[in-house]
Amino acid sequence: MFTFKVWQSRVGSWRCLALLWAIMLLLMSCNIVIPAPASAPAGEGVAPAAPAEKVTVVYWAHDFTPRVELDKKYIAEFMEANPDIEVQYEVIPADFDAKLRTALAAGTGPDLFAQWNGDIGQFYAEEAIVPVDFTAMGLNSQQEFMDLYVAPENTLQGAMFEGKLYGIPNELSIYACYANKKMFEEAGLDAETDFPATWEDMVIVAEKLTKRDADGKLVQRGFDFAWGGSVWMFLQWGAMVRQLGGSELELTTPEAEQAMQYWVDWVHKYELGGPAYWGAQLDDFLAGKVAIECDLGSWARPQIEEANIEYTVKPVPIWANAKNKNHFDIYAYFHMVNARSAPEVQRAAWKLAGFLDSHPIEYMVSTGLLQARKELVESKEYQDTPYINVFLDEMTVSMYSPRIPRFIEVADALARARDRAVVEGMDIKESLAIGQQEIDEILAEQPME
Amino acid sequence: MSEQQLSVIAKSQQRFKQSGLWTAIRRDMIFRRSIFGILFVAPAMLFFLVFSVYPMVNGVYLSLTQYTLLKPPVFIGLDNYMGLFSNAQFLNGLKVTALFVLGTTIPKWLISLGLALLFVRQFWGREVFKTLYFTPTLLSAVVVSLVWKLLLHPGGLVSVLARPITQKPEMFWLADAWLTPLTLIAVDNWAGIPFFMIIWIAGLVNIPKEFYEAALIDGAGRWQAFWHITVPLLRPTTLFVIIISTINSFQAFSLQYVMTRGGPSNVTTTIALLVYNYGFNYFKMGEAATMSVFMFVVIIILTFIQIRSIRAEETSYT
Repeated sequence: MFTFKVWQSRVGSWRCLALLWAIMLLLMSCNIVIPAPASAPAGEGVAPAAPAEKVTVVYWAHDFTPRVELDKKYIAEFMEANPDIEVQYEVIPADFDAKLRTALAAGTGPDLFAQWNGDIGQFYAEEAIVPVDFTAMGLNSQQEFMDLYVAPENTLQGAMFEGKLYGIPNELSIYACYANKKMFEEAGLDAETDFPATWEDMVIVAEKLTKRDADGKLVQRGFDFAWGGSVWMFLQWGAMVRQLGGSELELTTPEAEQAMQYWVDWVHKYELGGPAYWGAQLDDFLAGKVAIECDLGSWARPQIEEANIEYTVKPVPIWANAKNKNHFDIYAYFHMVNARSAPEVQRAAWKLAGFLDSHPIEYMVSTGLLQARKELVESKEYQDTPYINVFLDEMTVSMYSPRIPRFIEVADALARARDRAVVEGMDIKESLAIGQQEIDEILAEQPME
Repeated sequence: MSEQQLSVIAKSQQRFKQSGLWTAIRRDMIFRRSIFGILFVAPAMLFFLVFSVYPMVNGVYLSLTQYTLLKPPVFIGLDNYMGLFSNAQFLNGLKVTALFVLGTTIPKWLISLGLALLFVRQFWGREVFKTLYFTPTLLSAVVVSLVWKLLLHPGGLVSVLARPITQKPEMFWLADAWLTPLTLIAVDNWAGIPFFMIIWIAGLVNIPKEFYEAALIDGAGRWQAFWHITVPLLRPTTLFVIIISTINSFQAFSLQYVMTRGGPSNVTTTIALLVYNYGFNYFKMGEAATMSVFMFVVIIILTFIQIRSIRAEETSYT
C-alpha cells in the first residue's frame, strides 16, 4: 500500500500550503532582486552583434490615427532599406504614460519611444535614456543636426541637458489662439483686427464676447483658461509669469502674484469663466461654448475645419508691461532611446528615429503636426497651410517648461496654489507661499542638474 | 456461526484494526480524499497566491524601499513610514477619505435597508420599481461618473432641478471646496444603495414568517417586531453590508479620478487617488506602497472591530 507521510494529516495539508508559499516567495525574490531587462544592459560587457545579425527595435508610440498611418508607411520603407533591422511597432491606445513607466520599471520597456517633454527631466535624472547618436543618422555632429531646425535654441531646448540632446522631436507643438469669427461678428467685432494682443485687452474683448441667458447663466464665454490638468499651469500660467520676467518655480515674487491675481480676477471680478465651466480641450470650442480658445496647437486645425467653424489663429497675448515676448510654452513629443537597450539596438533605434523625423512636410500635411525643420518652412506646403506660421513664429520666441524631475508633482503643487486662491478664496500671497514651500520640498528630494 | 467463531472473527477484526496495515489503509483512503480536494483547490489557490498574495507581499516590500520605477528599488527600512504623518498630502487624503467613508456608509446602510423593507412588501408594480432602482448597480463606475459629470455642469439638469431651493441659475457642484465632496458622496450613494438593497432583501426573505405571526399573536407591534425579530436575525446580512460598504468606500478611486481628479484644491483626493498619483505620476512607488499598506492595516482593524461588535455567529433561528 502506497502512502505519503507528509500527507497523512491536517499537518500535512498545512505543509502543502507552506510549500506553495515557499514557491511564491521564491518567485517574488526573483523579481525583487533586479528585473531582467528586455535587452542586455548597455556597456556591460555584452559583445555587439555581428553585422550580419538582425537587430530588433521595439518602438512604442501613442495613438493618433493620422500619424500612425504615416508611421507604418515609413517604418516599412525603413525596414526595406535596412534589412538588418526589424522594427516592432506598437501603438498604445490609452494611458501611454503609465504603461510606458511601468514597462520601463519592469525592464520590458521599448527600445525607442516617443514621449512628451514632461517626463524627460525624470528620465534624464534616472539615467533611463541615452544621448542622441547622430552618427547613426548619418550626421557628423549634434550641431549638424541642430542646424536643420528653425530656432534650435528654442525648439530643441526641451531635450537638452548639459549641452547634449537626449531626444529628437517627433511632434513639436505650441498653443495659439483660435478665434470663432462668427461669434466676433455677432459681438460687433472683427476677429482679425480686434483680437487682443495683451492680457489687459483680453478682458475687454472677452467681456464683449461673453453671453448670459435671461437667468444669468453663462452660455458663451469669450475666453477661458485651461482649468483641467495641472500641466497647463506650466504651459499657460508659468508662461505668463515668465512674460513678466519671473519664474513659475519662484512663487513669492510680484510676477507670480500678478499672474495669479489675473486668474483669480478672471473668475471672481470679471466673472468670465472658471474651473466650474471647464469641459475638455477643443470640445468647448467645437460646441460653440467659447469664442477664443488658447490651448490648442496646429493639430486642432483639421477638426475645427471639419466642424465648419470659420476661424482665425492669433498669437497668445502678452502683458502690456512684459519683459519677455514669449507666448505659451512649447511642448513636444521626443523620440528617446532606452538606456537599457543593447548598444547595437540603441544605434538602430536612433537610425529609425532619424528616418521617421526626416519627413516633416508629409507629417504636417497629413496630421497637422509640426517638426520645426528648415526644409518644412521653405516648402510650398508650409506656405500654403493657413496659419501654420503663427505656431512656428511663436516657437521662435517661446521656451519649454522647466525640465525637472517630478514635473507633474510640481505642476500639481501649482494647481493647488491656484485652487486655494480661486476656489477657496485664500489670500494670493499666502497661497503662493504655501505652494513655494511644497515646490522647494519636491525639488530638494531630487535636485535639478 | 457459533459464538466461538464470531468471537474469533471479532477478535481478528479488532487485531486488524489495531494493526499498522489497517492504519495504513485508512490513512491511504484519507489521503486519496485529501489529494483530490487539494488538486481541485490548487488552481484557485495558485491564482490567489500569484495575483493577490504575491502583489501584497511585494507591496509590503516596496513600502520599505525608495523606488522611482526607473531604477531598482533601494531598501531604506521604515523611512517611508516615519515620513507618512508629516506628509501634508497624506494627512489631507486621510481626512478626505474619512469624510467620504462616513458619508457613503451610514446613509447606504439605512437607506438601502429602508428600501428593502419597502420592497419585501407586496404592492402594485413592485418588480418594475425594484428593477429600476437596481439599474445604477449595473453601470460601471466610469459610466456613472461621466454621466453625472454632465448632469452636474453649473447650468446643467441638476442645477435646474435644484433651483427652487438654491435660487441660483448655476451651481458649482464640482468646483466648490465644500460642495464638491458632498456631491461625490451623493453620487456614490446613488450608485451603491441599490446593490445593498438587494442584499438586505435576500436577508429579509430568509426570516421565517412564523416568527412574525407568533409575535403578532403575542401582541407585538410593528416596531417591536422589527427591533426584536428583524434586526437580530439580520445580523449576518448586516455584517456583510457593513464590511463590504466600508471596504468599498475606503478604496474609492473611480469617481474621484473621472469627475474631479481629486480637485478642486485636493478636497476630493482620497488615499486611493493619492496612491495612484504617487506611484504613477510622481515616480514615488515606495511611498505609494507605504500608503497602501497603511490603509490595508486600517481596513483590517476596522473589519475586525465590526465583526466583533456585531457577533453575527450568535444568530440562530432555533
